[in-house]
Amino acid sequence: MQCIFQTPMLLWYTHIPVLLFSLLAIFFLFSVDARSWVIRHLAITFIIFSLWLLDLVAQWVIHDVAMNLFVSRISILGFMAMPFFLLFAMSFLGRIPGMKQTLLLLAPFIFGCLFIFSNLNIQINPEDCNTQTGILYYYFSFFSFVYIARSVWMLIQARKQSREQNIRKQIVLIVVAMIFSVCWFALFPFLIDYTVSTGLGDELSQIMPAGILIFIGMLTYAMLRRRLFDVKIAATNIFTVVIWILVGSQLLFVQNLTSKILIFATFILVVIFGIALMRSVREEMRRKEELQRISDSLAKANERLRELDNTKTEFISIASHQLRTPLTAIKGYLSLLLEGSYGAVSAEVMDVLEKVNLVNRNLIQLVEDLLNVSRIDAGRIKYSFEPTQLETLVAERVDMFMPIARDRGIELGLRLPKKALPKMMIDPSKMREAVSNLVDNSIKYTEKGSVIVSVELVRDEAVRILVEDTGIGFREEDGAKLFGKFVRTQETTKVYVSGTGLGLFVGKSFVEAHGGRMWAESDGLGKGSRFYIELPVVNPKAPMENGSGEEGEK
Amino acid sequence: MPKILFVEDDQFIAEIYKKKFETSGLDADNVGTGKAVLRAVKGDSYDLVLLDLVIPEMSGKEVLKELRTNDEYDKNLKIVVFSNLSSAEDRDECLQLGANGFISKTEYTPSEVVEEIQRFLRQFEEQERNGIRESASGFEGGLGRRGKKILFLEDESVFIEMFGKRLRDEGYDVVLKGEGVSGLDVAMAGGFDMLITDIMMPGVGGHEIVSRLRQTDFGKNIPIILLSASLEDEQLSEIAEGSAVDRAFSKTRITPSELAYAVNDVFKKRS
Repeated sequence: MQCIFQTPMLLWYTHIPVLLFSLLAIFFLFSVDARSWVIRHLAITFIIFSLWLLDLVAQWVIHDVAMNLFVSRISILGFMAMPFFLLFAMSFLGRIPGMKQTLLLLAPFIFGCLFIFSNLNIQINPEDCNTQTGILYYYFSFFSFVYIARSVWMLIQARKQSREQNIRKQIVLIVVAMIFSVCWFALFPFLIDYTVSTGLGDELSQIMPAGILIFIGMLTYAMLRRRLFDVKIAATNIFTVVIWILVGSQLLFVQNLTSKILIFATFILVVIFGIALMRSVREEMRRKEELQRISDSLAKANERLRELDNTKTEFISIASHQLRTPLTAIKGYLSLLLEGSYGAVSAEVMDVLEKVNLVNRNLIQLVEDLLNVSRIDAGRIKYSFEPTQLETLVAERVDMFMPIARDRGIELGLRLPKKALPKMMIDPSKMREAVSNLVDNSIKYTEKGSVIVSVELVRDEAVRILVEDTGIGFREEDGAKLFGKFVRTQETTKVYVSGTGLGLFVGKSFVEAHGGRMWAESDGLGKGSRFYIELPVVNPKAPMENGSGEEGEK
Repeated sequence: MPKILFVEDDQFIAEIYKKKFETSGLDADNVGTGKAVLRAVKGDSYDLVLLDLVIPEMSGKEVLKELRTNDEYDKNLKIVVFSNLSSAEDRDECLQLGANGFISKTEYTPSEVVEEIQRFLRQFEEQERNGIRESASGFEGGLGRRGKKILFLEDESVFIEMFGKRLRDEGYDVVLKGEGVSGLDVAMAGGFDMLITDIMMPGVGGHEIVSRLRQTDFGKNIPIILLSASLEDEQLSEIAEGSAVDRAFSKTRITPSELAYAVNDVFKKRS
């Protein structure tokens, strides 16, 4: 008996390309790695889908009722792709299932297969050639849903635990592809049933294979993302071979001798260039692969370095905190001893205690400095900006060092701008420390001559503090290094062995927190140095207070 | 106000020091030469003399010798030598001559000099009082002299001994507890005039003890001082400004005497 129904127009165009695409995907998968179970399980899934596509085509083409029924019933085997997808997911996560596990997973499906040809499956009404879905469909749907849910769950769990970006991205792709397909293929039957009456149902069902295309495409991309180089090589090879075949096959059709010679010549050319192309593509891909590998290992090394740096900062912080307690105990007991709380003490002992006290104070200062550095590194320094007259701050600092400078026989001078500077939003204690550091350093490293501190307005928008000395100077290449942590040049260590080498580092980060810059220049060893602090008049990092009136002034 | 004498012939620098001393609450007189020191000391009584070694007319060492050997001068006068004492022999010699302390010129900025002077002043004062205490009735006699009882909660034994002893010397009756749970019990039992507690302790923390105490009748208004090893200064002053506690200190920055003075201060303000 014959069923008269229209074979849809676009049947071949919508189904065959998808079928070819699916075969291509399987080919690429195997060409990359034929032995991995991950690939094999995925390939089997694709193969099942491909066969199912063929079956779909057959359903439309075969008009004999009995054959059609047979073919329609077989199409339910498409569900077999689901357990294989679960197997793929398991293999992907490294839990390759053994024989027993595989059979166990396939069991419900194999059991269902026994009823393929029974009435539980699809039935065709011979009168109007309409199909009726059987219970078997729901049976398979149920298990498919369970398996899909399980694989999606496993993949999501794995994603949470994994820290590798690649794996995470892959999982996202796979899960999205799966969920998309589930929705697509779950919705379509309803859509078709709904529109069957209008006649649009048949046309609509032609779009369904597109879902397979997307599904296969996403999964193949997910698997081959990192091996695209191999894929590109394979693609080039296939393309070249295809061209050879196309060109060469013309020889069979052409009768004319001239044409034959021409085509043969073309063929030779195409072969030569084809081989050159294939070679160069392979070279290119190899190189890119190498580069990718290097960049990956660099990224990993970088990550490790960052972790190490964090650990180091944390260590400094913890160590400094731990050091504070014993140092304080020493300081406290020393003060009690010196005060005579434990009885009168001879002058000599008193003197020794004073020396210990001094040394302890330096130690405490060092620990404080280290703590500050670790706080700077962790970004935990708090700044309290207030409107400040910078000249006053600098002048006060210079006064501080006057006695010391005079004692060393060095001239210490201060030059302020003629017109008063506008008030600037500055954290006074931090800026005092930055300026102090510079003046202190200059005095320390100047044998004779002068240290001149000048403050001036620059380009109307910034204030520059310059500390210029006639001291030991530094080499040009050391200029930037000076501001690193714990840095002393060879020359400075000769002059002044104590001192942590942290002052410039701390000062620089304070200045930069004001939106400013700090740098140093020198004409060479023995030729003095110039240390600069430049601060923008309007502090980009500080909110302007109302009524302070800075913005209008210039 | 404590009064000190210092020697500096450069007027500009003398001004800097004088300003610094004054803003720190010290009355400071300045002379320019060694002989002027001797004259000044005869005319006025100073709590401390800051004696530079390199001065005109008479060197610092000679002044020192004169002040200590000549009976005309007060033997009890405190002299702190201010100089570049790079050689140990110099320091020893001054020690032999009777100096009470040293401040190095190159290491200290004027602000740091003032801090050291203040430390010395406190030290000398305490030495006096300890001398008196010792001769009067031995150290035990200090117990409960002031009639106030302090509960001191602190888990690090080093600090318990240090601060506890100093507070007892100051004349307070001190009950010490080393951890939070028993500390809380004793606190809630009442019967003391002030609570000093560490913030970080095993068992119950200082914060909780304070809040529990503030909820009781007797604990509502008791003066409380917080000690901490780990909080930053800004956070500490924030806590102090909140009304639950009177003061907050960083354990690592306060000496036992400073704590004792703070306690005196709080009691005085409260009465």
